[in-house]
Amino acid sequence: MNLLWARQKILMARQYIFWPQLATGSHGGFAKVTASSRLFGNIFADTTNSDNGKYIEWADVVLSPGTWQIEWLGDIGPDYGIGHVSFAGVDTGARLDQYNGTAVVNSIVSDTFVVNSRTRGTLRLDVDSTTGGNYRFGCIQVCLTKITPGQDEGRSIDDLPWHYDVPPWSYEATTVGVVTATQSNTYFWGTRYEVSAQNDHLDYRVFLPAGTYTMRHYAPRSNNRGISTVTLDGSSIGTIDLYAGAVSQLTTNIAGIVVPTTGSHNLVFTQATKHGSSSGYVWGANWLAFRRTA
Amino acid sequence: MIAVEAAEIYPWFAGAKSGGTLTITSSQAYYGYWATTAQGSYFETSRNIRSGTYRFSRIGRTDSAAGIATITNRGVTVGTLDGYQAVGAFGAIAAVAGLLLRNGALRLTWSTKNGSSSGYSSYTTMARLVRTGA
Repeated sequence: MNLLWARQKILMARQYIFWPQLATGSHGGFAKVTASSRLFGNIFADTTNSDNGKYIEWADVVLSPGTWQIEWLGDIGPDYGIGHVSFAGVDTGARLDQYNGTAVVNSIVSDTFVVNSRTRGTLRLDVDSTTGGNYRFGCIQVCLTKITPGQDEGRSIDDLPWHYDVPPWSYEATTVGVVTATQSNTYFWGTRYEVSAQNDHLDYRVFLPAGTYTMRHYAPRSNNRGISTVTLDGSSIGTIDLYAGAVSQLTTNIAGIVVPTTGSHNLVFTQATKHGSSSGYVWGANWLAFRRTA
Repeated sequence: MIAVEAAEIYPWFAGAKSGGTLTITSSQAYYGYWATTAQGSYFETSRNIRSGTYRFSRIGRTDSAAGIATITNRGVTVGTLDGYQAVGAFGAIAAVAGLLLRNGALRLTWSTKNGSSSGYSSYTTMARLVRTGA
């Protein structure tokens, strides 16, 4: 008997979004700068004028052959430097010149580069040169988009993205009570979505290829927060306690999440319990993201 | 075919768009949105997504002068989303389900409006596609 195995077609991504606060590496004096004049309420910036070797980078970016456009959203001004774009350790030649005679926030600077073969590597922005003499760098969001058609066929699920966002506003609307949105640029992304009643839950759909992941959750802690049990396709992957005596930002990483099958999965946060000292069950998120680690 | 089954869309990074401005206001979730006013305004993005049925959801501002977004995929109309509201709201979340999509161009065009709307404006912060079935 001959067995004919059909090879499933795998399509690689044509666009990636990168957040500087989710960078896998950085160097320099980067810090969150709160500003209600910025999209998402703040910017991740190093505002020193010196060439201190500042860079940010994102690992495990998988690009198919072709021409890619990189767009950088941030500040431009007389003291800003030029971001040199490298991928998989090679200078692409793309440059993001953030110099401008006048300071302008929420500006997009772009360039293109060519990828010759299917590659998984690190995307890095180094501020290595300058038009105006200084090397400031501030970033809100970066986007990579493939602008030439074709050659998008991957060999395995390893060619699918290794990073996935789950915007908190995109809940499936299956909550016991009411989901409230609160603006606050004290924290990254500037907005959080929360429920407040015991046993409230927030449900999300997330696409993940088979593999091992770390989930990253961002939210403020306070004295009225609950404990969420997090499940993926019905199985618990951990708990997140948002109680604290004083308000502060919490970043929680739940590592070692094994996803056995490629596809869309149900991610549910249920607030059934709380810390003994908490006065309530408020629970939510500024942002959610998954990063594949194996 | 194996491809992603969810995608986030940010209008300012759309591959093609007919103008529009980034408006920042602390009243809007995430502090801003991409705004257009002219009839026929659009933005388009091209993604490799797995074919199937999708829910398209959007967060932005509703307004008494907002138009109806016609959603097309590879040039074929798949759904609409009305941004009109007599009393506008920031951070409004709206969705349309049951869209049959294939990988390729996804375009939102504001060329029609609710009978009660005074314009064709759009105010979009971000959108999300989630596959719900075959």
